[in-house]
Amino acid sequence: MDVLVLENFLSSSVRMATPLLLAALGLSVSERSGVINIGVEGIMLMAAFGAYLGSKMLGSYWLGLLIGVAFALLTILIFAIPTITYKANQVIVGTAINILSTGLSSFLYRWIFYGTGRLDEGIAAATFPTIAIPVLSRLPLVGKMLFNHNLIVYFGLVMTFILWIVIYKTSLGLKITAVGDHPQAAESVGVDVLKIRYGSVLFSGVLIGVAGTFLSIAQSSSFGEGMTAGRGFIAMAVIILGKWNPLGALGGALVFGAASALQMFFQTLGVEVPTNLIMMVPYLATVISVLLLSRHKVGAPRSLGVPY
Amino acid sequence: MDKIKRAAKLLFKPALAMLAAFAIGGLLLALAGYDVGTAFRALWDATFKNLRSFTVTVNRSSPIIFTGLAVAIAFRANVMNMGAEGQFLFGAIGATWVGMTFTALPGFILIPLMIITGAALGALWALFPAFLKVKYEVSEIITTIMLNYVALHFIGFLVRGPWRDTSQAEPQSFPIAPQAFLPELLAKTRLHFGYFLGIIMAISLFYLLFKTYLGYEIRAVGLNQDAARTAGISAEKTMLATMLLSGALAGMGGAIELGSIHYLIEGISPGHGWTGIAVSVLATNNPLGIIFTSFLFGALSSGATSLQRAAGVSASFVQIFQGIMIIGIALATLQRMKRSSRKAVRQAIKRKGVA
Repeated sequence: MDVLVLENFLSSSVRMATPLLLAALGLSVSERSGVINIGVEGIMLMAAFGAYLGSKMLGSYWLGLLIGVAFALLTILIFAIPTITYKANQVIVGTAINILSTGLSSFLYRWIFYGTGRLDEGIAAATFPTIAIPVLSRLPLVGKMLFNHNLIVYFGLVMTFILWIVIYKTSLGLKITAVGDHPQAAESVGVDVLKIRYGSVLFSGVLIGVAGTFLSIAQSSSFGEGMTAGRGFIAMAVIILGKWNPLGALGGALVFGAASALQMFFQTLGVEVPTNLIMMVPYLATVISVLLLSRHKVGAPRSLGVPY
Repeated sequence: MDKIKRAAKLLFKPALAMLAAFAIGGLLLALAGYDVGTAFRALWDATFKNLRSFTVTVNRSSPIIFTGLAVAIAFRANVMNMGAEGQFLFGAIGATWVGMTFTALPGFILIPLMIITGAALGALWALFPAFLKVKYEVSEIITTIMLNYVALHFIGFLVRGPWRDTSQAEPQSFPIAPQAFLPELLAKTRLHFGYFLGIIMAISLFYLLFKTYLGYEIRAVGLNQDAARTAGISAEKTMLATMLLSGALAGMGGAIELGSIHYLIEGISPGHGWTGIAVSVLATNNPLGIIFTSFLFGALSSGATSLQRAAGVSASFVQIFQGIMIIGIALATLQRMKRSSRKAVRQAIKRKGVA
């Protein structure tokens, strides 16, 4: 096989995996604290829109990132306040967030770029450039796969290890896990359950925001209505594949990333393969792995989805 | 008199959520500089302008009433079926297969056969996550969402592969036999029986939930699984039965939609399964309420297009209404829970001087 084609495939696997990884890392923290957030899809979408808007209006991808994350945080607050403070059903409010965000992002997009609030279309959105890491990027295979990306890809990889340390090696990680498993027990030893849950959910908002930003101003240079296309839900699958472990999330995200990349790979090769069948595989793999892992109790936080 | 009071109490919260949604939505439109009057009139006219527009909305309510009922029965048993979407799609797949294959059958046999097959495939698609839930305690939330995507990609495979009608530019299946097209109930409209069958299903489901033993079991399991077990109810069997019924209802919806569209396309469901959740939650999971909320969401769906045409507002705007309504209702129907137990823990901490 052509080495160049293989290099491209590996590189785009990592690129495709990045938004899934970032969202999954965020969600693995909030799920560990006992909050299941189906609204991730919508939050990512709002972030993608915010980042595009910010980058386009202010001409800087850093400011785009800032506004993308701010949009994500505002949206996730609409999820967090009803579910954490008022103990509303997390799945229902999450669903509402998805519907609301689909509407709100499209409404704002049309209003700002085509409607009465018309914005000048002249300037292109600033996007995160690819930064090749000297020497390392020239390594065969691995070089292009890991060291020739934009900053957000690197951020995702680094964040994986940081979160692994925080979750498994610090008392904060222990507290978060305890709150997700036995909130009553955690509170009885003085952990503020609501504070930990708010903190975890808002932190996940930041990472989901970066994931959304990646979609609109790093992987592409535009916003499309509904552009998350189910990636938020895939991120939820990634967590299960990775058993709520950040390193596992990296593996899970790469599985889905590779499946998407494989689709493009076949297209460039001009091979007639029913790509829809390929795309089914990771989803089925998730369901099957859930089944296999279930013998070891899956590893899901015991109070996942239960308000406190 | 008592009955009226009870009904008023039942309607109060959904009405409040709707009012809040329209108030906030209207405010947003005004702030954005749109003509609120024109926008709301466009929304209203989309359904109530004339008989034809009314029938369009009735048809649009058809898939939603079925997914709404599917979600309602599952939620009643506290089974979080997020997979009405996939079950709906499999219902459509089953109906397509029947409608394309048994072309020699007359319509009055073929159409019921399509709907039954759709219901069966929908139930089958719900069976797997249900089985995983009761047997291995695997959360149905994720498995049902995953299976939605499997169903969607399976349709993609069918309409691009074996079932592809190559005479069409866009990927779509061959059409079903003409006698399998849902009959028009009114001349010069495309009104079909979908929504009306949905109403019958809603009434049946209401009867099932509140007047039969299975319904009692479902509600008991939904309220408190442990207590239900103590009362001798098999929570596992009940949840399994609930999911099968839920999947069958969604599948029926998909089959009927297919009978209305006549061929299978990837976009046959623009999220009807998710809208079903909204519709059911807004009706506080009451099947009779869903008759109205599904019509409301059908009207919003019709309104979306005319909102864009008449007032230049993005068609997605109606989803803002929907989102606010659901959050509103989720907040309004909260049960005061656990607060007392948490207080007790806090006081215990204070007494012992921990933390």
